[in-house]
Amino acid sequence: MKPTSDLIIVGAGLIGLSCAIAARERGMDVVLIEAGTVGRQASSASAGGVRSLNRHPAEIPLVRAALPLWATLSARLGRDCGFRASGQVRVAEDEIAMAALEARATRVHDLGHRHERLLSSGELANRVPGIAPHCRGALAVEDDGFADPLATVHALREHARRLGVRLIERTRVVGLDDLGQAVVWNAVGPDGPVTYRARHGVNAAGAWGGSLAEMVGDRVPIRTAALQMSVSAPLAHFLAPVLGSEGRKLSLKQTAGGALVIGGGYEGTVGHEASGAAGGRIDPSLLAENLAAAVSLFPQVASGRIVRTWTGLEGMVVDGLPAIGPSGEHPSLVHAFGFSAHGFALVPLIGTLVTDLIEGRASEHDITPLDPRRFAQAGPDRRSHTDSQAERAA
Amino acid sequence: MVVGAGPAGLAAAGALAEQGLTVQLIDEQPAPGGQVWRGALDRSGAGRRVHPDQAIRRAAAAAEVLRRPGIAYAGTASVIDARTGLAARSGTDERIEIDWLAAAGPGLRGLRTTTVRALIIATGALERPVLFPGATLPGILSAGALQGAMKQAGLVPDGAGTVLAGQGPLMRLVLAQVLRFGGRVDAVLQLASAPAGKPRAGGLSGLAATLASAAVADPSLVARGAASCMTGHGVRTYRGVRQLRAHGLAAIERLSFDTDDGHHELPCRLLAVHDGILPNVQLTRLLGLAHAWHDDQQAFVPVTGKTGRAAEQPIWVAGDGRGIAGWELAALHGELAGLDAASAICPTSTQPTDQAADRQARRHRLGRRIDRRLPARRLVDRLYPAVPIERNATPDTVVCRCEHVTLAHIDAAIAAGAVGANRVKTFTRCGMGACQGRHCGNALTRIVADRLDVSPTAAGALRIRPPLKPTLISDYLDGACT
Repeated sequence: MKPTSDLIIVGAGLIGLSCAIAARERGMDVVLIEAGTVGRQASSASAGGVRSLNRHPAEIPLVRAALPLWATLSARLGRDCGFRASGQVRVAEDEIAMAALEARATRVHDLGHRHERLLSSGELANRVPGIAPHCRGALAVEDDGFADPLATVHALREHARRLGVRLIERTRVVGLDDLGQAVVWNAVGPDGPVTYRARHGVNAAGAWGGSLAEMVGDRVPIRTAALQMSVSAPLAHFLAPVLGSEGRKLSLKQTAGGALVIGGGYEGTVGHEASGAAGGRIDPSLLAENLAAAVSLFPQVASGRIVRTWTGLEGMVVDGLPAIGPSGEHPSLVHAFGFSAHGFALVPLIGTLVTDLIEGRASEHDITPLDPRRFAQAGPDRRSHTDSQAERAA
Repeated sequence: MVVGAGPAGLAAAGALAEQGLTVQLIDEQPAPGGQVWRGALDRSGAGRRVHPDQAIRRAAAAAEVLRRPGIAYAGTASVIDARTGLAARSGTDERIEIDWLAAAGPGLRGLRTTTVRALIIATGALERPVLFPGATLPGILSAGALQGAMKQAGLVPDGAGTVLAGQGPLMRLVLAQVLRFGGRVDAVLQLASAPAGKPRAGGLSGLAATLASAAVADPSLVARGAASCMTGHGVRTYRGVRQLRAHGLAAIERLSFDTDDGHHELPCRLLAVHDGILPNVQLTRLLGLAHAWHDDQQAFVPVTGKTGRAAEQPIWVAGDGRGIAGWELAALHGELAGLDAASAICPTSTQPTDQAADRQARRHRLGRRIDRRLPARRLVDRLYPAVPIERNATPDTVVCRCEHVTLAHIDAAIAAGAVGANRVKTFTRCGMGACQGRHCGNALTRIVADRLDVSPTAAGALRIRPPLKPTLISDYLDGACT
């Protein structure tokens, strides 16, 4: 059996779903193949930050373009994604951190961006009442915010289904051929091997995107990380914006229900799915370090209770930037993976961006720094140790 | 390490220590004895009044093992996380790392990590919740919680409007205990259904088979027999209760329900509900052990060998946690698991021959004693089947209390393509709250299996994440330096 379609997307996480919806809205016939189940990995483990603050300069224009899309996303999808334009604040806890934030502010300003604003310690105390008095100041973006990753996954999934995207779960792509004007995907589903054929392909396989790229000869150095997250029992509301801390790994927010969601990029152990650890395992000492960063900003947080911790497997590209752009080896394939723990904010934008690439339209955004071919000249193929780790985890 | 100091855990720790091993025994209660002997060994507590002398003597005898050298006992302590498969790279014996919180005593409080060669899980049972509209109103508690209040604090309901509703042996016991201690119960609502199931070939023997056959041949006879246990205290009993609903504004004020005789309404100030008990598999799930659905008990149980050992792991499960069996069997299982774990850690080749033979003989004796008791246990399972969820639950009935997820929410998720318990979890947040599905997990599996017409195994069980119990952030911080 050889089902055919205009577009096959591999990976039904947030990125794959966004691409599927955008392509479907342009009239393409879309098949979305997922090795596990929808949004099971990095998408559900995301901290949910919608952040242009402290971004790599190459990503700033993209996130700034995504922000207005977040404001209307729930209405567009007909289901609440939990987006709140709460603002994001990156705190400096000492003079060294404050100097780093000031240098950052100057650099971003010189590039022509005006969204980041320095806060003095007094302004910070007004912006974030109750923050520990040792904080020297902060860098803030007022129209940044956060959304609910799970709610967003399900809103996108439902919308994709309504639009007629064909979603095929529990089917893993194991090979990929180029037959002139078509991409041929060899996959293994619950009922055995199956072949799909389409005019175009998108690799949105997240942490597994590197292995998929390798199948066609594209090399993107990527490793798999099990990013740690934790959530507390509800506390009385004290925190509106999402907080980070310069020089520490921290993302701290309080949901509408009062729960604290704490992350920031600590990496647990990448494990085996079969172990019941769901792909990753929490490192307790790193969890303690993460929680200590939150307590440092708000000492009263120490009396909160953690009710759940989890990890999600995320693809971290060596330079910290995603791989978005056409394959160097396969004319009908576009990559969109390796968002390196900060892809969530780009979700509403990425679909149109990738669909433009598929259709050969000129993008209004400069994505040259994200081009997957940027690693092509970097020497002989060195299939990294972490790729095989990712395969094991799969 | 032995987790749980009830009959199974005490016996397991005793057997390990007797074989010369050092044991860390941890338990969530302030005193040993588990749920069955809760408060029995607390000399100052009211529990001494609730427990019969015989139970106090049994509890004291079981707790004697704590005097043995080699056993370190920590009460008011709980497991937070556990990790296996650590020795794979070093090539030495398998090790298990357990993060646990000792919460008692100044200076003693703290999160610590203990590395062990064997883990015996004796974490007992949880009550199966009764799902009905209005169940979250204040004034409604489980029969087990009511019993706990009596055992621990001597609190006995003595006001007007106390009602017991449910099914199972514990209901009968709680009723008797309330009345014995001068409490008052106005009505008992029997939610028991006719014993379910077809006879399974070769599954039963002797007297049990006779009784089970009777249950199949004449369900109403056995149901009445079971129900009669609830009467005899002069308490008004309603049988075949369905469509149970609690009404009230700030707290429960009255109950409504149907029986074959028609619709009933009762004033009610305190309602204790019960639908039997389930193996507590939170820790075995966290460890990723295999589980299988126990049809008679309508619950998942860990897959273990005869001695309670999980396949290819230095982990044993003993007591009600490996299938509800009661305290006597739990103690036997615990001892057997302890002996087997001792053999696994110190192979008989390193032991004097007579000692090894002695250990072997004891294991055989224990195995035989367990086998003799099993048929009676199966009969109890058949006599007290779980209440079907549809009997009382309505679309607006809350299934997950932590995240306020109703039956209607779950049905909507299933209709939208959630083809398993964990899919429903991500669609609805069912089971994502502080209790991590202790309350809703069993019901969720049964609901998904029913709606999709698949086996409970295919429907799956909620994944369990650390921490096993909500843990203070300050405890994590302090733990970082120990």
